This record gives sequence, structure tokens and C-alpha cells, in this order.
Amino acid sequence: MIVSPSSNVRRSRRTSPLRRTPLGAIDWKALRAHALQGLRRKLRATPASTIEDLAQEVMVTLFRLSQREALLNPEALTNTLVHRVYVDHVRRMRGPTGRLDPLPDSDSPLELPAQDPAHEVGVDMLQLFRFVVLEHFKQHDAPCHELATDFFAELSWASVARRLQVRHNTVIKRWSRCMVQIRELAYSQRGPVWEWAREARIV
Amino acid sequence: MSTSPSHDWATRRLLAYSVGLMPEDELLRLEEHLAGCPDCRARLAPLKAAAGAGAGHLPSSLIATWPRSSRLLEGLERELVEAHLEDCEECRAALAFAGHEPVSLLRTGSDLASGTRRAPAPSRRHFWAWASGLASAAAGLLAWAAATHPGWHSSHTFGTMGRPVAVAFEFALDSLTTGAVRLPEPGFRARAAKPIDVGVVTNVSGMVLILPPALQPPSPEAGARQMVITLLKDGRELASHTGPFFTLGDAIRLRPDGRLEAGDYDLRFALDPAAAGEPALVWFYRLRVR
Repeated sequence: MIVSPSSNVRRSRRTSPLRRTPLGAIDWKALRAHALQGLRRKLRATPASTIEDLAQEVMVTLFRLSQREALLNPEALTNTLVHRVYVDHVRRMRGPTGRLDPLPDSDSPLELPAQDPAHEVGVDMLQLFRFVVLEHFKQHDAPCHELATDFFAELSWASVARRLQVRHNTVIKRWSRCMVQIRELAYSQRGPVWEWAREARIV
Repeated sequence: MSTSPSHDWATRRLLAYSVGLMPEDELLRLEEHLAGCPDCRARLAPLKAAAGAGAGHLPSSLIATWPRSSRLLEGLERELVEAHLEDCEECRAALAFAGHEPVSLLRTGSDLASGTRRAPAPSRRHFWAWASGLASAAAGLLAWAAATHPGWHSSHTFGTMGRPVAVAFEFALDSLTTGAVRLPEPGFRARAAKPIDVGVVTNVSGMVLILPPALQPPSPEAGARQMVITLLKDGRELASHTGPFFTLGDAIRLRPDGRLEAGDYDLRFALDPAAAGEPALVWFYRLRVR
């Protein structure tokens, strides 16, 4: 079974420095070794440098969680994040037009696509695309920023409509205006994020 | 698990849905399908951001591979990452935890904004302009003629003494012109995140701006579209020029009749849409004149 990362942290309504996990209270070196071991087991034929990058990604997420909440069981949380990063890595390897699979159980192996040496799998472009969209709206269009933030958290316009207490159609109409802006950005901008979006045929 | 054409269609559209980029008419259809399809919901679930990696912060994968990945960022995406890092203590702390410093990206961005880097060699994409025949050449000559006769493309702004000052637009300049300021990839429908320092602007040298790739036509068809360049101060239009996109060339110069008053100016580039009914593409730069 997949354990949600949230089940291993103590939730607080607002992030408070008092609730953070003190840096010294966690054995980061041991957790890193644990993450590396877990990733090596799941990605046997993957180059060591990629495993290092993925372990670093796990540690960064773990650090961020530790700064927001008190971590109750860092080792179990590391296992969960290792599995999540592994699933994300396989998706990235399939590229922007690859199929999407359901989240598998922690012990189920995923079918790994062949590694293309010319195509480095580094940043998660899906996440970077969302970040760029959110940051753009944060600077230039507050209503679109609110809609995008809610949608990216829930991935459901029906949920966004319920939260805003408006009709489903209404929230979709409001978002359409924002979507036009994203499409125009994709047309006018260059860079890996926009290239990824064009390759994925989503803009 | 359903294998209907409707299900196949839905599985192909999940990525676009997850980034909020589905046409309005398809959104309702997909959400109806999702409500009754556990398989599609399960496929969508891994696309939700993991806890601790909210979409409003730099992705952990970017921070983990920062020295390599940050160098690949361009234009607006780079500008937005840079602006976020300046404001977000949490992301700076995560970078420090990973053993990286945001300085490299910020320094490069500042250098670009302040124009301290020299212009690169002319882009390969310009070959089409030189090969597009006599029509382009004739238009280029017209642009040159206009440049050498400021009155042809001038309008008025205000100088240091509050008197009206004519501003001439000159096009297709050499990007190695002394004192040229390289414009970063543009922001969108808004002012650039940071003003670009263009120094003192007088009639002698004017203000030479090297255009980024986004302001260079990618095809002859795009080059034929009309570009309106407008200089604004405090939201008021001071000078404007309309002409084909391709006449801009690698660099442009704004040459005032006297000296431009110190302060912030906005330079707006508005490109006619490719098709009727589409909105114009608009880019802004904020220029700081000393």
C-alpha cells in the first residue's frame, strides 16, 4: 500500500517554527543512505548519477516537510518519497507523450522505458510548468492565480467550484480566460518548459 | 476497467487536464468521465503534487539538479524562478540544504538585465530575412533611410527641461553597437520584473536595444506581420512606430532629439495576431533612464 506522506507528519493549521523538526534531530546522512538504497533496488539498471539526483530530490522534499511539520517517522516517510520519486521518474522517462499509469503499490515494479542518452531526465517538467504558470499568475493576475492554485492542489474543477461556491460551468468559464494567457505564453516564449508543453501537445 | 473510445480519449487527455489546459468544451466531458471512471482517477492521482512539493514552490527536482538545470532556463521561466527565489525563504533554504546557492542564477539574470554582456553572433534564424528577396531588401533600405532621417519615424516626448523631445526609431542595427543593452526574453502583458538600466540617453548615442529571439520573426510569414513599438512614461504614450516585424532586425535604437528625462519608461512591443479573432501578442520592458 502507498502511505501518504501526510500520514507521517504532524499537521498544524499554520506552519510554526515551534512545530518544525530541528535540523539536528534528524540523521540526514542515514536517511540519504536509506533513500539511495531504496532507489537502487527499484532502478537497478539506472546510472549512479541519476540515482544520486533522485535521492537528492527525496532529501529536498523531506527537508521541506521537516521545515513545515514535525516528522514522526522520517524513515517511513523516506520510503514513501522514494516510491513517489521512482514513479515520477518513470513518467519523466516516458516523455511528454508517454502513457500515464495508476500509482502502483510500493512493491510493484514499473515497466521502464529505454534510456535515451540524448535526452537527460532531470527536472520534472510537469511540475516546473505548473510552477511557471502559478508564478506568472501570482505576478500578473490574482484571480487566475487563485484558480490555478486550487486546481493544481485538487486536480478537479468540480472541487474548485464547490470551494468557491459557484457553479461548475462558471469556474470553467473563468478559467478559460486564464488558459488563453497560458497558450499565448506558450506561443511567444522559448525555453524547456514551453518546448515540453508544445511537445506534449497541450498548448 | 473501461476500454471504450471515450475512455481511450480520456486517458490521452489527462496530462493536458492536469496542467489546466483543456478546451472549455472538453473539460466538462472529461470531468463527467472522471466522476465515473476509477481507472482514470487512478491515472490522474500520481500527477498530484506530492506533499512538501506544492506547485507554488520550485520543484524539488529542479533544486536537486540545480547546477545543471538552472542553466537551461530561459526567458520568462528564468525570470519567474529568479523572482520567486528572491521572495521565497523556503526555497532558498531548500537550495542551501541541497548544497547549492541561488547566486549563480541571480547574477546571470542581473547581468542580462543590465546589459553587461555583449551581444551574441547574429542568429541563424535571420538567414531567411536575407534570403527573402528584393521586397525585404527594399523594405530594409526604407528602414535605413528612415533611420538616417529621424523625422520620418519620430514623435515627441519630454526632455530634462520639460520641453517636447522628438524620439526617432532606427532599425536593423548591428548588435555590436557600442553601449548596446541586451533585452532579456520578454515577460507577457506586463512590465518586466526588474527595470533594465539603460543609462543616460542622449541624441548622440541614443538607446540601442538588442532584441531577444522572441522579438525576431521565426518565419517569413511571421515577419510580414505588423509590429507596433510604443514608448510610454507613466502609462502615457510618448512615441510610437508601426511597421513589419522583420524590419526590426537584430537591434533597434531610440534616439531622442535632446536628452531623455531620467526615470522609468515602458517599451511595448505589440505584434498583430496571426489570424483574425486572436489577440495581439504584447510584450513590455521597463527601462530605467539615468
